[in-house]
Amino acid sequence: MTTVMLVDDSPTMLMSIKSVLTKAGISVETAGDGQEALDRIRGGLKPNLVISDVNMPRLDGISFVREARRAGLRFTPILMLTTESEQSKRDEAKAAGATGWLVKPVQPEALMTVIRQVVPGA
Amino acid sequence: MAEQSPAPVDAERSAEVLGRSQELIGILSDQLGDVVSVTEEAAFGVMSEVQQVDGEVEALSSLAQDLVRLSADGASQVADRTRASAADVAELVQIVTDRDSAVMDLVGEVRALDHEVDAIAAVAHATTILALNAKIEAVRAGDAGEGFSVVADEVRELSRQSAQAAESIRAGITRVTSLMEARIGSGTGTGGAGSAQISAKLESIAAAQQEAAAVLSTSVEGTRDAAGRIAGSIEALGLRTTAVLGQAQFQDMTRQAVEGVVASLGALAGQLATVAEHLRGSADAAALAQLDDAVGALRSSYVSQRQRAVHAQRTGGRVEAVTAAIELF
Repeated sequence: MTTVMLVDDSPTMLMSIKSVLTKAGISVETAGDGQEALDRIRGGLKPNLVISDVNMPRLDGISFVREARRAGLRFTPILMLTTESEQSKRDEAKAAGATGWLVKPVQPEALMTVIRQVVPGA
Repeated sequence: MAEQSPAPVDAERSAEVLGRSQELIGILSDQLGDVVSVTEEAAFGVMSEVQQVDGEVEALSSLAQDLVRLSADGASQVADRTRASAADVAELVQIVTDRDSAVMDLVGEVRALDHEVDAIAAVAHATTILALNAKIEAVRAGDAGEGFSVVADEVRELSRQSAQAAESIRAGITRVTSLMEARIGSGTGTGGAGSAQISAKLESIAAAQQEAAAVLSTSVEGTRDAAGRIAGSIEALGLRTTAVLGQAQFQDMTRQAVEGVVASLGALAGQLATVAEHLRGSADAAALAQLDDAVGALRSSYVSQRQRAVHAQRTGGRVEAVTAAIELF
């Protein structure tokens, strides 16, 4: 079963996206910010995909991507799901190793299409 | 003791700060107005989806009722036809039983003829003895008994033929009764009026079974159709509920927007307090000069294209180009 790690400081977002993914038969792990997500990865969690917010306390999404790549999550796709739309932020995320950028609100069907693109068989 | 003279009021700078505060309040008002719009759009979206969900649930309920009614009608019709078949079978059993009973009575009557045949055989045997005695007496009588001897021979011959006929009749009775018993025992007996009734009843049973099969077929077809529509309705329901779940993202967007407004209102309150202090003479003009550009700070705190667009619309700034909502690197 595909496992997706959701990283967002909004409990509502976590619940919303988790519900959408769970209905599609995907197993979901959640983290409240970049630091918690990084700790889980360093602790051995190996998700098939990470979906992360950008603006978060403690460790923001782009820094998290950079650290996660260093922590061994080299080839796992990481999608940024954020209200942030500035091109410079996108470029920064891309340079840090992010796989894609999705602007909230994203329609559930569109989200699933992207997930299946980056994780074939999900 | 001489009073300390108040710091000179920098009216121009104060007016500038107040003017920018007014501008900031206008921007914040627009941002909050946009939050209200986003919230209303999201609430409307959720309501629309919930209405669709409600419609699907009603359709599902109607389908379920159709299914129950279809099953009940089918079961009732099949039960009616089964009862009719059971009545036909009962009548059929009675017809066969009555016919077999009649045939067995006939067999008994035919067997009773055996006793009459025994009597004929006994008479033939006695006649043979009598003819033999007559022959003996005719021989004793000599020439006078010669004619009588011939008659005695003829009588003995008739007696023999009678005995033969009796045995033939007995054999015939045995064959007929055995055959009738065998046919009744194996259930292959046939009979005029009984067979016609049996055929009619069998046809009636077959027709009832065909009707029951047709009812079942219709019922199964209807059930399959209803089940298919229910499955489709449930799938649509799943899509609707997923869409409702997705709508919850608006909360994160409005939360960030409101958080930005709240932070900016805090900065604004600080700036207005500084201006007030300056006007009261407890803060000099340098304090005004050190005030941050609250509008610029608000502008840099935005996280969404929508916030920037609202800001630009109020300030007459450049509206940034819309970027793709989804981009894979």
